[in-house]
Amino acid sequence: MAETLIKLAPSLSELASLQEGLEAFGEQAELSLKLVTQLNLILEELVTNTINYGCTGDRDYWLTVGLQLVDGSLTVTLEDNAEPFDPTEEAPEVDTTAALEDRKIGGLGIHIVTAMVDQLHYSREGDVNRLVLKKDI
Amino acid sequence: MNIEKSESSGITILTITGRVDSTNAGAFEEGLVPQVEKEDTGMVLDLGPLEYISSAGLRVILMAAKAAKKGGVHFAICALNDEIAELFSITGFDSIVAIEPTIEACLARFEAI
Repeated sequence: MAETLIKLAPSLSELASLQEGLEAFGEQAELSLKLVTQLNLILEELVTNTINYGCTGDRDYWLTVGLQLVDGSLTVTLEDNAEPFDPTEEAPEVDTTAALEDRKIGGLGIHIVTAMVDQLHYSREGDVNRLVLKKDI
Repeated sequence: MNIEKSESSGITILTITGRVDSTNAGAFEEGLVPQVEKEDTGMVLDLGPLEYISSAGLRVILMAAKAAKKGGVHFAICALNDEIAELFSITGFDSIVAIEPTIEACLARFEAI
């Protein structure tokens, strides 16, 4: 079993810390490069969205990313005290079969996330957004 | 992230090194899109030395591809590593942009059109 908790300040410059934290966890849990890259992609999307859309007021915002690997099942828990934001609900649909002229510029991020995880569950607990992702590896 | 420009038989080659993510996608856009807009023959985006790209970077590639199509210039991408190739597949980008293994293959593709 491997476990870690990464704490982030609400700034995009923290993506470097996130990447380091994921690489360290990847080594600890002996994850493949492919999986670590996927985690980077997934978490960059979610953390960037939270910072850009959720941390828009004056509060002292915080974000945490928890990772846990148990018996071949990876659980990632993102928590933050940002504005209520359910990434699974509020993102526009992406048509990955559309022709070049018709492809919209936005919406790719959450599509990438849902394609790379097995389960995604959002809940709001008091002042906290909580997103739990599960992936069998 | 670094963009290096070179040329072969009138085709512009832009080689991208490093990572493109939310922190530098703006710089990537500024470095890539105007080059495509002023191109009059063709452009190859060489992603050989690119280690990582997230949706922020893919958005810029989409803008570049659209600009190329609008301008009637050839546009192709080459040398994607396995993880980036998978990302292109998940997002359907592999059906809207020409992808080849090497710069030479891109140039040959443009010749054949």
